[in-house]
Amino acid sequence: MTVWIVFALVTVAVAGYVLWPLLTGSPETAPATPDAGTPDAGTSDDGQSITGPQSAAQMAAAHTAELVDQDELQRDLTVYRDQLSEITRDIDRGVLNAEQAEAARTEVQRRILATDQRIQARAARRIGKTSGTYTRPVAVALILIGIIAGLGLYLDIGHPTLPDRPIAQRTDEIMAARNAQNHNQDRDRALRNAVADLSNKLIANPENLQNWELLGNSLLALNRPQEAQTAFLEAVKLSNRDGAYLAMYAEAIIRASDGQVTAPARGALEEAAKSGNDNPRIGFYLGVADLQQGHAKAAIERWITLANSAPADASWAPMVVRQIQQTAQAEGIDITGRLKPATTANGPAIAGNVGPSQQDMKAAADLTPEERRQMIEGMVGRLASKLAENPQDPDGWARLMRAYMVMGMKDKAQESYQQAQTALKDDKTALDQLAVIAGQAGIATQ
Amino acid sequence: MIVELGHYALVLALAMAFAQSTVPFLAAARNDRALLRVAPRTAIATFVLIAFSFGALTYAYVTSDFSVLNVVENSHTAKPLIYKITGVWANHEGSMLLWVMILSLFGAAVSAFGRNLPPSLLARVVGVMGLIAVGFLLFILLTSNPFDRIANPPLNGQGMNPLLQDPGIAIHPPFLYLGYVGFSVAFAFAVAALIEGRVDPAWARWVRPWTLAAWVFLTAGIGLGSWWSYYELGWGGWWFWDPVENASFMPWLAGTALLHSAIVVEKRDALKSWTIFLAIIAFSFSLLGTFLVRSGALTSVHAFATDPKRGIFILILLAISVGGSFALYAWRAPTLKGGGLFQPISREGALVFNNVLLSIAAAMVFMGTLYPLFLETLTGEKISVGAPFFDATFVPIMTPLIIAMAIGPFLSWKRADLLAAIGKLKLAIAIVVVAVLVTYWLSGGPAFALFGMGLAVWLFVGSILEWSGRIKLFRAPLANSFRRMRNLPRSAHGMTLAHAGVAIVIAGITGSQAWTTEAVQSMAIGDSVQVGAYNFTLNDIKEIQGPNYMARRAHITVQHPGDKTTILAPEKRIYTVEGRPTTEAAIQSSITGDVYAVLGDPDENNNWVTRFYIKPMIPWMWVGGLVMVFGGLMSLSDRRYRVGAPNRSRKKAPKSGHTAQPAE
Repeated sequence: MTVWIVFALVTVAVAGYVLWPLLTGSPETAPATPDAGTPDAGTSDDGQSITGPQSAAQMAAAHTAELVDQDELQRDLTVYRDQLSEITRDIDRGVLNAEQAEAARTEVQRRILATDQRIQARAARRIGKTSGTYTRPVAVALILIGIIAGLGLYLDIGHPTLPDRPIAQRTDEIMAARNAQNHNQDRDRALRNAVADLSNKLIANPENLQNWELLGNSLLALNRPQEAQTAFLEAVKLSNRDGAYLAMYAEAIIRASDGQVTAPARGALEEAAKSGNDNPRIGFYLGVADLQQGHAKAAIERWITLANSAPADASWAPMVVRQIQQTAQAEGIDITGRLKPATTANGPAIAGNVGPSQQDMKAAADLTPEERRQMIEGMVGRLASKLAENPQDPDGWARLMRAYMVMGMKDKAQESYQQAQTALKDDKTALDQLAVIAGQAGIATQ
Repeated sequence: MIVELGHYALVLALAMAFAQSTVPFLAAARNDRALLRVAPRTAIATFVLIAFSFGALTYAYVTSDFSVLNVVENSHTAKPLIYKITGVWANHEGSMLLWVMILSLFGAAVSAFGRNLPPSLLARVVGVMGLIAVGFLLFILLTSNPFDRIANPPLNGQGMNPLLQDPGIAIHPPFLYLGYVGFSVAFAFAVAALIEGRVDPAWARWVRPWTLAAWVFLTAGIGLGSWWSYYELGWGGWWFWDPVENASFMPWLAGTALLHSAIVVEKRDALKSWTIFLAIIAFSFSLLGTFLVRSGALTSVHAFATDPKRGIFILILLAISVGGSFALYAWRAPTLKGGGLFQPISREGALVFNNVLLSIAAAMVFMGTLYPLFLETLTGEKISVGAPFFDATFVPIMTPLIIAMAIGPFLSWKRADLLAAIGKLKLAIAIVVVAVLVTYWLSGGPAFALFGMGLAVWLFVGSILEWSGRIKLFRAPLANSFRRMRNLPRSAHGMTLAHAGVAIVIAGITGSQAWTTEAVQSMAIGDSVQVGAYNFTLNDIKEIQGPNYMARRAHITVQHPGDKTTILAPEKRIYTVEGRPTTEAAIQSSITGDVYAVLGDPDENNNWVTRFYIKPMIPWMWVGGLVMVFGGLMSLSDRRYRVGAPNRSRKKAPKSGHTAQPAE
């Protein structure tokens, strides 16, 4: 809003400055000013305009023209007078002799005469002509049209709501970018360690299905889908073509081919669907395949079935719902009433016994940042004390580590990872899973 | 909000330029006094708005506001402040904004200083400049908007061409544009005169200071550009007949011709039609230069933009303004009545001779620059027209011009005695003979060097003789001469200085072309090499860290003839953001010439490639250019050309000295 006020002030100031001679026109110099007091210049009718009889205006105009002629004559005479004195100087300097000087003088005098005649001729031509009264309104209209057209152009190409973003005011963004970079580096390092570790274990014992899965997931997290594909293929073989592993295998293929559901991926997904497995990837990617082949309706049907069958705490459900909504909007398909109410809730659903309830979420939205931070700290504290009582809860430890990392308390996260390792030292599978999760969250695992 | 306010100011400037291009014509046609007072105000408002807009863009650069696309593409937070500022015009969009700001500056200056111009002439001049401004503002806003924004700004920019991160090149575009665009005033005066159907000595007197100011800036801009290429590109060349250099040279040649023909209009009321034609041509060359550089039709250091859409836009602008003004010329010029008659041998005759030769020179440059372009468009054949063509055509054109330059000022108006004038130059002829013999004795040639030095001495001595003749130096008592010198109009001093400056430039060109010695070699630390009379020793090479670059700096001891030693420190820099290298030559200048050292890359044996040049007399070129600029300024400060000086102060002026406002 301030922007528009400033723009308006600038516009009025500029228009006022330019039109000032018209606004202050005295009777003598302004024979006819029906346009006085333009709304844009911010003044109302200033009463200085003369709308008297035509003859008065004519007389004034003639007078004006005479003044203009006098001015011009004086100006030209100045130049010629200068030239005459220069001729005198040239004689002085010996550049011209008396005869040449006389010729030069005659020439200049002839010019003066010509100027005088020209101006008189013009005055004679003018007699009988009157300056039209439309001149000034046309001029004002031209200026106003220019300003209005300019405003239209600005509305088209300008960004009046975009504030300045000098770099000095963006320190928090720079810090966040730097943190994110560090965070990513830590995470990648941990994941690479996990990959190396798992690879070694798999060389020694290639029959371990769980490790193939973990390796595949880690490689996917490192954005190395080609290699993940191989790892999942091993898992598929070892599991005797289990639907869940087929789905993961298909996902890796899709990621490796830039999101395209290729024929092998589709084959794997269809085989998984036949096996009756309920892994959500199957329905989701089959829907993507439908969409890519132009069957938007079929895709949406598949996803709606998937979303409606999702358990209440499924972390993937909101993603599917978003996908449905976006596709429906892009394709113009009506989906009102098709989705179960519970699944339409926005925001990531955090699963688990200490997750925030609907009321918590609602409350959090109304809080100040400080209060919100305290609330989250309270929840994390409750989770931590629960785990202290019952440490045999791998999911709980994973949530706690993630929560600390999100809150930026890296030391705490590290500490809880160590506590988890001690608590779960007998559960090999849980430990391996925890290592991958810790790696993904950016906690050093070595 | 400052950025958007700048953007809005630019759009509003377009609206004001539209007003400026319509209302003044209306006012002049109806002779409406109040509207005639509106006319200059539109020009001043346009300038203030564009200047504010330019300031807003500069603010975005200085504060590294990466929500502005132009800043992202051409700046970086690590750049030193000065290059953040100069970065504003070191790119296509910003340089166009600078162009149109300078155009509007001239429009506003004419309005502010032109109070004693006939109001209708002033209005039409302002109106013509408004038309040009509308064209270029539309070009900027529609195809090259520097205020394009990004909603999610990145955290840093992409940096700026390191070659342009240099103080010399940083101030070169503003000067060049002041020159280029300055000719728009002469152009506007010419078109206004055609509309009014009247050209007279008064008109020439008003148009001359503006032309002179533009000429001074253009001379300074070209000089700076050539100085920059000499020390920054790292191989000692200073003029490449690069199309973009030619683009600035053509308006210079046409502008120089205009400057001289306007004298004839003022003094003798002759050559009117020709002067109008030159004024149109000079600015047309400026527009052509802008087109060549901005359209991407030519590739060179200067081609920031290679966007066909922009090229077509400028081509249309060029067609309208040049075509329109020539059409107007063809229609109205025959009505201009010629005034004074003159004999071929006269001051006027000499100035016509000057004009003819300068025009031929401009035409040669024009052909050499555009012929390859036409050929490629028509037949697809690529040829390059370079130094050999220009050397072969320029020397024969310039030689008679320079010979005549010394004689012309001795000729009187209307009808002159050539033999008497040459008689006054007997001393100059004698000195030329001596100078050529001394040059031959010292250097033994080559022939073109003897010829060039002879020409330079001829022009220099001729100019000085004319000046000393005017003040009767050694022919009257010294006090008398001194009084005459003080009474001499400043424009006369200015002419002497400018002509002498040309002579110094010719000497510099000749000397550096004829007697440069160079050596390229690979050296280990501690090695020495003898180049001409100088001995170079590579002492060491150190890594140093600059604000936004890393560099290797060599220390080279130079033993001059006569046992004087100095240290040169050339650098090879890598600009980290842009990832591009530059060479920073180390140059030691003195009156006799430059010692020039360049550090290259290490070779396979880990020796360093170095290049050394001894360039005798080369600083004379830039000194000569400065003298020309100074001569122009001197002439500009002549009382007669102070368009702003009120009439009444005329009588007091000789006594009270020069207190009134100069015309720039």
